[in-house]
Formats: sequence, structure tokens, C-alpha cells
Amino acid sequence: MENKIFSKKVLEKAKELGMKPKSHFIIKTVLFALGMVFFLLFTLFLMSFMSFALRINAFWNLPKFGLPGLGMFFIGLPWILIFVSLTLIMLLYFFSKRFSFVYKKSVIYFLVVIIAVVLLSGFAVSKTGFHRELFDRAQKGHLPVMGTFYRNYSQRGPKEVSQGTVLDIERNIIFFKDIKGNEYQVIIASSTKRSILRPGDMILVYGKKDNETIWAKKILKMK
Amino acid sequence: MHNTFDNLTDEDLVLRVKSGGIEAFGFLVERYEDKMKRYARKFLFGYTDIEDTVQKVFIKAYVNIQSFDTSRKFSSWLYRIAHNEFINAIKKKKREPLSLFNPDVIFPHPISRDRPDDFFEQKETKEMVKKSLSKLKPKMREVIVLYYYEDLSYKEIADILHIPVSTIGVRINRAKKILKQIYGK
Repeated sequence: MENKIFSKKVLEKAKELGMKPKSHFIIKTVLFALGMVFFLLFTLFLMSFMSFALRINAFWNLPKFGLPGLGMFFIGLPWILIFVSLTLIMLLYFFSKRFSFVYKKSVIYFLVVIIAVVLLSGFAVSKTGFHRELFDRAQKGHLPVMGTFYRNYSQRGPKEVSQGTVLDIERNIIFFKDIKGNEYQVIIASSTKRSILRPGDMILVYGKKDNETIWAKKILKMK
Repeated sequence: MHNTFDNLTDEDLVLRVKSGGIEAFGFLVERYEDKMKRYARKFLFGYTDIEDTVQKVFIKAYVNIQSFDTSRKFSSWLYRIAHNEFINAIKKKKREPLSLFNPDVIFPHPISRDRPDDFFEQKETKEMVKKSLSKLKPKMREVIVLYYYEDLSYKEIADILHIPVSTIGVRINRAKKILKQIYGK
């Protein structure tokens, strides 16, 4: 009897409120799925951009200069972008937590899988011409909105390391063009560590920059 | 009318509710009322009006019934709604701290056994659990209630709480240890 009174009360209120239509739940699921895709793609974009920016700024080669190189590498990493990417991954987790394939596994499992996917795909995208194309447009001022972002991050290389090609060699001066297209004279001192170089060689120069001159401490020939 | 519903499964009843048969929902309410009230009483110690909270659970279930996938288990879905409603009740009262983040879901744990153990079979243990349940933190208390009082499996509890199955075993073992410590005093 008590059960009947309770269910009667529930039914009265239920009738009053009515059911939400199926379309409401379909739209909600679609929005959640779109949110997940958006966060995933945005993270992928940032990861591939970081990989591209680090490459054009010669960051990947810094560890070749030993401890000072490693120091420059860690200091110069785009920490803000790394932090934003990690926040996006956390948001992605909170968006996808409602799906059983996510909550059934531990958080660390999700993070390892998603970070591996984003890192590998980001690296692959950075190898395509996608960012180079946008970067070139930004340099020419033909990229609205994202132009400043591309220009800022492309100029954030380590101050004392440049990557580029040997144009010519004259006694103790190397005429050098970096990968951003700037030309320098690299001054070689007797103490400068270097291997035998020829025009056309890709090199990495470590030394203080002074306008269009680089006072080389070490020059590495790249394969 | 109810006699015609007796032989129908929960999921068949939901199909009828979805197509407009509100009486079938009344039957579901009667079928689950006692279970929900027991769950609420054990989980929400003197928190709030149990009757009112359980009523909210059923109303939410009705309002959202179109989102229920009838290929799944209705009871787990209903318990999930109840879990959310009860957690909201705890949050509103602010009597017990509820952390947003559960550290025990971060790392994987070995899956512990999901078999009836003798922990709850002894008369004195039952009494001890009854007396000490309110001293457990909500997340520990809830797994004990769902496992020992509601007789649900680890998998079902994991589906209700949206956490990995292995975490259920970890929580139950921790809760049992705490209960034994409390009782030891």
C-alpha cells in the first residue's frame, strides 16, 4: 500500500515534468563528441607546431653542445604551449570520462595513450609542409590572426645557436645563411672547435651574435 | 494492469515507458523503491529526507528515460542516477568533504576477487558494519553499501560509480580495514 502511495506521487510529478525527447540526448552526445574532437585536434595542432618551432629554431640539436646545450634546451622549451597542451589533455579526459571505454581504465592509462598518440601524430604533422606553409605566409604578412603567433614562436630560438647552410668560406670567415633566411658572417677563432667544412654544408654554430656577425665557439657539421 | 507487467523485464518495461506507457514506469518505481530507499538510508546517514531524495531519483529517471539504452541493464542505470543524486545531497549539506579527484583511479590496480567472502556473514561483523558505516568516508561507505547490502558485482558497481573495476576491490579492502580498526577500538 505504502509502495503504491509513493509510486503515485512519483507518477504525478513525472507527468507534470514529462520526458526529455530523444533528440535532446542525441544533440548532447554529438556536442560531447565534437568537444572531444576539438580538444584532440587543438592539442595535435599545438604539439605539431611545437615540434616544427623547435626544429626551425635548432632546438633538437642543442644537446649536441653538451651541458650548456642541454641547459639552453630546457630553458628555451615553449613551456606555455606545453602547459596549454596538458590542460587541453585534461579537458579531453573530463569530456570523455562519461564514456565507458574511458572510465573503465585508470587515468594514467588514458594519459599515456593520449599523450603517445598526440606526440606521434604531432611529430608526423610537423614533418609535412603544413606549418612551413603557414609560417611562410606569416613571414610575408599574409596570415591573419595566427600570423603573430607563428612569427613570435619562430623567433624564439636559442640566442647563441644558429642552424643553416655554409654559403662560402674565406680564411677565418664563413658566410652563412640560417634556416630563417638571415645571412651572417661567422668568425672562426683559433680556439673554435670545428670540422672540415665546404660550401653547401649544413652546420650548427654556437657563439655570440653581434648584428650580422657570429663569434663562433663551436661549429658542428650536420649529416 | 500490474499483473501484465509482472513477467516483463526492466528493459521491456522501459520500452513501454518510452512509447508513452507511464503505468509501466509506476511498476518500475514499485519494483525499485525498497532498494533505492535502502541504498539511500545506508549511504546518506540522516542527511536529508530519504523519501524526497529517492523521489527525485525516480523523477530524474523518468525525465531522462529516452537516454537509456535498452540493451544495457536498467538497474545499473537507475543506481547511477541515485549515486549522482546522493552525492549532490552530500555536497549540499557540506557535512562530509568530497574530493573532486580520486587518487585511487589514477594508477591501475590488480583486479581483486569478486566473490562472496565471509566478512559479512558473521553476525557480529554485520552489527559492527551497521554501527560504523557512518564513520567511513562517503566513497568507502558507498562501495560497502553497494557490494554487501545491494549485492551488486564489482562490474556493476564500476558501471554505477564510473570508475575502473580494479578500484572497487581496492576501496572495499580499504573500507574493510578501516571498519576492523574502528571495531577494534
